[in-house]
Amino acid sequence: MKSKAWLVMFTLVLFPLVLFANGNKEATKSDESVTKVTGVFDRILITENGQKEWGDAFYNFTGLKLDIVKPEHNQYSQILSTMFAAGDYPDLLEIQTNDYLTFATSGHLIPLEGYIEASENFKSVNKDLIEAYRLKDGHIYGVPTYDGGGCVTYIRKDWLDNLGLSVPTTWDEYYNVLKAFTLNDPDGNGQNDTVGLTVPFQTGYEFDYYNRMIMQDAFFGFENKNGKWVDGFLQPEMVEAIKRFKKLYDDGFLDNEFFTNKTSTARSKVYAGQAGVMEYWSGTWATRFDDSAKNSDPKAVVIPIKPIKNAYYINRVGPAFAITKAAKNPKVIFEKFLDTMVDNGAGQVLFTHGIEGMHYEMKDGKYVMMPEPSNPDRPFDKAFSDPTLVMNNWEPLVPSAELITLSQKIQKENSVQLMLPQGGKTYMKRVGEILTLKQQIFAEAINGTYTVEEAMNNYKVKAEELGLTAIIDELNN
Amino acid sequence: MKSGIDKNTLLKRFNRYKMFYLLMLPGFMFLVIFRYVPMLGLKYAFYDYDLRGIGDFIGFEHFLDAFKTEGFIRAFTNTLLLSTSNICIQMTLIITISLLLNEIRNQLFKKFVQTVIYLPHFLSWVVVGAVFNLLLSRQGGMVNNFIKFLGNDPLYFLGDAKLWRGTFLFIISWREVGWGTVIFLAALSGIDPQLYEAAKIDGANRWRQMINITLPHLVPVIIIVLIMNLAKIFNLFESVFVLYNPLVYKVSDVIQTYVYRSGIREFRFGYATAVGLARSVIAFILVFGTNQIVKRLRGESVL
Repeated sequence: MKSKAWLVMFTLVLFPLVLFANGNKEATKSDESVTKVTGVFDRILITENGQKEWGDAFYNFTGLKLDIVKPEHNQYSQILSTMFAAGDYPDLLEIQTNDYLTFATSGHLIPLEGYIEASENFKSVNKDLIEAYRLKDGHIYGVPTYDGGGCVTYIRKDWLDNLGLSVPTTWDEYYNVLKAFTLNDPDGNGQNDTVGLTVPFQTGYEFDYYNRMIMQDAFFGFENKNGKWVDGFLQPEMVEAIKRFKKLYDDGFLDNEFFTNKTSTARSKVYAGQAGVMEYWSGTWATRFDDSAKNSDPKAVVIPIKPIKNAYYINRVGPAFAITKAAKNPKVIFEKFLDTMVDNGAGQVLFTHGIEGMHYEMKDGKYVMMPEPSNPDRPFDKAFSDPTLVMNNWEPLVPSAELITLSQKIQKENSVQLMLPQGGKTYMKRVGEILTLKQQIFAEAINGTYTVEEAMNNYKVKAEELGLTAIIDELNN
Repeated sequence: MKSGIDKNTLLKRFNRYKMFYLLMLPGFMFLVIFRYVPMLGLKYAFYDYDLRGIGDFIGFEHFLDAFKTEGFIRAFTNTLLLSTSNICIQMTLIITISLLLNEIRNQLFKKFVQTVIYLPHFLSWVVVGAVFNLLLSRQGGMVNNFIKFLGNDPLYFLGDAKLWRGTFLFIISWREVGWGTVIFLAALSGIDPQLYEAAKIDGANRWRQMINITLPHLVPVIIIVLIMNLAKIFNLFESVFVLYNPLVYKVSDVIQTYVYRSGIREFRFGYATAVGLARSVIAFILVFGTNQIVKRLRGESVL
């Protein structure tokens, strides 16, 4: 009986030990030398596409062993902030654009301007892209992972041709195209089953990246107008933009599921031939739109177009790489990781195209991308940095498809560079609630709960209660 | 001397049941480690704690701030409204369905019905959200196709503030009601059959049997389930998160989604902890209060 009791006791004691054994293993990590660093990354290639092999190739190239953590993209920000809250700081991290200010002012990141100035490789990087990360304190806490890029409008060219319409260049033409796409059976299937424009409802400041044809010169977020920060939502341009949204929505030419659309839902409507126009990222998405639409209709042709008169696209500030104070030797990390990313040579190839023989190969004297390991139906596009959004004068080994180049040319030539608003304590505390308020007021104005003017007055009162004046002061001082 | 006897008795009892205590140990440890130790984090509700780290002690500032914020008050009201309606609707449906199931004499059919109504509970909220978004879509959704077939305009079930709450309560009931019958069916199977036989002899029909025997026997279970549900009254999150959108924030934003946005997405850890703590305190008061009411009415309490 006694031996049985001991056996039960032994098992019960052993159980929690086994449960927490992994924690002890983690504790030894701090003893590792600087040649091994922990990096938390968002856009790095996934395990199924050869993340481990990429890490090995990076180690062979630089001598720096990366312990890579890659949270799910849609939970990235939350997981990273939770790690910081728990005091579990990585050495190196990628920060999403919207979070840069909060992380940069957290006191946990090291200034990088000294390393940037000393770097030969960074001399060839577009200065504006780097300066976008400089805070009011004069320090730069992050470097761009790639040129932020932006969205363009994609349109079903075959539908335009079927209806005898040309690419719209003014608001009236654009409106008429959306009307015809909705009402005039652009796919010729004899059914009333298409809508002119589909868009996802962006719940963050991404709202300003999209919807440019309707927004035109208006801004949903805070904007730098003539050198002064203002709340874009309160500007007269926004009133006109909301009226345009409302007209399209009321007339049925804007997807009536707009508010519940996710980006994937909206994209799939273009792929399936349910919608004829959508604004989305320039670059590799140009070919994805065209290829996917062709899957459901071989005659489909999706092309990127220039913005209409009075409208322009946005060049956003891209995600940033940063080094934390937890890093034992930030200089080594900067030189081996960030410098390699823009070395105009083999390092930049590894960061963009990946590993030769696994992600790209030489074929008939030309470099071509190989099928994506996790999805062989399409070619591998990038290991980490987008080869179509290069920050320096490096020429990618594998030239981009014509549509990709075209979409980027259109976006670059017709875009304005966004800046990061840098507020203080009130901004940090209230910006989320103000954003939620904007979404709600915007939705209710479109929905007809109240008139656009009533909506704006309503917003003004409630935003003021949340400290809008103090926020604007912080942004400008 | 008395305490010595008590101590001996206690030791004897412990020795007698030591194997049971040992078996209880893992569960007890789990409870302490994962339920009580994290409560130490509640102190952050009183600190200025964000991505910069733990700042100054600020007392009840976060609580005062929350109670002044329209977003919190709206979330609080919505949570109370949605949860209370949900409890009332679900309890009524669960009890009704359990009673109806109990009346089915064909065991095969009864098992079939039970299996069918249990199934939705095992679907994740993400799947349920996607399915209902498709079913209720105004672009080819089955429900709206039927509405159009009847000659009416399609409805924006998840985008119209007037329809959202009803739609939400329907969806949450669809998922949970079947599973909720498990406890009641177990309680029903425990009722002494002799009571029914005696009632039959006395000439009671099935309706009278249900009213005078079945329902009174279910009352203790109803109270336990009610109190357990009250404890979870502020726990609405996933169900709302997958079904809400800016058009319906006014009627759908609940405390948990508010905490998620302010705490995790806006990195205001101290504030979110304070809101979470306030939520727990109110839930505790509700449970304790209900228990006291039950104690007064029935002379016995659940807790």
